[in-house]
Amino acid sequence: MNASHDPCALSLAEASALVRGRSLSPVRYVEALLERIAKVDPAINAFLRLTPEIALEQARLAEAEIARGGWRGPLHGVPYALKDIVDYAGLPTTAHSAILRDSVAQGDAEVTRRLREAGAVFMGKLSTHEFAIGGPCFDLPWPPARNPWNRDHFCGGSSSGSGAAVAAGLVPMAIGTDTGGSIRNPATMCGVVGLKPTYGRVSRRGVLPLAWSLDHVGPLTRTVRDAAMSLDAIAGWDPRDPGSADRAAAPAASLLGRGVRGLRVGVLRHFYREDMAADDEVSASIEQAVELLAAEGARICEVRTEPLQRYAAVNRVILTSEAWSVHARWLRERPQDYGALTRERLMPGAFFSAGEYIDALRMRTKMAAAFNALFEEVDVVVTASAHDPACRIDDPAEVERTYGRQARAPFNLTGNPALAMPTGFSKAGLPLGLQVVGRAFDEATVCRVGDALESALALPRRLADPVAS
Amino acid sequence: MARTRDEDGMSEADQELQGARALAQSLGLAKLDEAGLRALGRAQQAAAARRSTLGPVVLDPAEEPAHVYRAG
Repeated sequence: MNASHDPCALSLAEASALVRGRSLSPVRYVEALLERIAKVDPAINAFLRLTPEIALEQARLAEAEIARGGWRGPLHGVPYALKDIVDYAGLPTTAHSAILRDSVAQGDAEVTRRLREAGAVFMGKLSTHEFAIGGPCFDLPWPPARNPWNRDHFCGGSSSGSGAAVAAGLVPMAIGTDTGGSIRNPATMCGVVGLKPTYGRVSRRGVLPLAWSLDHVGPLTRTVRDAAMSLDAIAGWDPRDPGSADRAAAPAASLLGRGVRGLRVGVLRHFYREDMAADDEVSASIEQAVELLAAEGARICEVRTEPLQRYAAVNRVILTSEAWSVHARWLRERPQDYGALTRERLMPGAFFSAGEYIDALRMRTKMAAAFNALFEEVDVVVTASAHDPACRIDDPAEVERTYGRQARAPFNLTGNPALAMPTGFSKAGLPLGLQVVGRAFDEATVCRVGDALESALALPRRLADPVAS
Repeated sequence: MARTRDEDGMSEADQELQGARALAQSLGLAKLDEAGLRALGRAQQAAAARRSTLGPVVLDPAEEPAHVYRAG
């Protein structure tokens, strides 16, 4: 890959090498992305706040520094964008809500600080479900993001703009957050990679909480390698985040390229075949991927854990109870300033008692231990991410029907690292995907398997183009 | 909606709304409009559904929640 190719189509790893080698100017890269954003983003609303001046200034600085021999690392001169619940100093963090429309961040979130130190180039803030829970909503100050593969369809959420922007080639990497699946849902719906790391591996400081004990921060990218590289730039202990883990872990990119020969892969089939039957195309694409892993030398077996619905119920009791604690004051004082769907998704938290919340935490501890016992027999678990391809964005009944049809929330409960990655497209041209889940702090093995599967699948590399479709 | 009226002349719909308002009041959500009150009713049903999915919670007293959640 050389710089004469469209820079927008470069993976993060490719762009990083070209920038380091000075055959791709960070300024030219940003200009190309801004051109593409101007052409494509009006169709998909991925960006809530584009910051071209900041991006060009940071690109100029990166270019000059690299020219002086001061290359900082793989993300130096590489553009990225932030879900708009993540603070960037001096800019509003709106959470896509009228309530925080003018709320300006006083400092960077820790993830932003690390990206700034890495020399990455900030492109702007991305659309999100309101407060990371309410979406798609059409009654907010900004429109919802749309699926770049078919703009009549939902792009998943809550990191909706993150998934849409990466799939459409507007940025090579976006930061999202995940409390019940919100990095992995848009990753799957938009046909890109989304990595929810181990709980505590990436600091949540400076990120608006939805549910403190379930919130995770992570990257969305177009390749597994890019996700691993991005995670390695943002991960690490933060003493100012009470949930941050002070624990050494191998870099996520450290095992890439090693293949899967001899690795033990457990297929959590009952999640998408028995507990909640997935769409036939989704199910078939997962089975095809498992067969590819077997052909590459992985040892495949079936594993079982608690029923999916039980995980979902425990997740939802904890999530809505903690979210109620975050939002009760605003819901009482200014309920009309929320989107209707956001309000409806937050209010169940008012009905759980303290005892029910604590019971859910006790069940969670037990369920997490039981799930992690599986890793005595396997190295990774493979299962569904979404049970259906993306539905129409203008069909509220279908949005609600498919909202809970997913197998992502269990790994917010257990805290295990989970990678959502594409497996192909449905007959209707919408992305399909699966999840690879690993031991706590073993993102390296998760990415190793994902990278091998990505190579085996050999999906054609193309950007979603909503203007052409 | 049946338009039966009670002795005070309130329709069933009015009674439901009054009940929803009382519920909202008890939660401090007195500012919800009618659409919000209906949503509150649905939220109550959603919470009940989650509760029933959990099933009976049978835990030994020694099974405590992790005080600070740690993975792995």
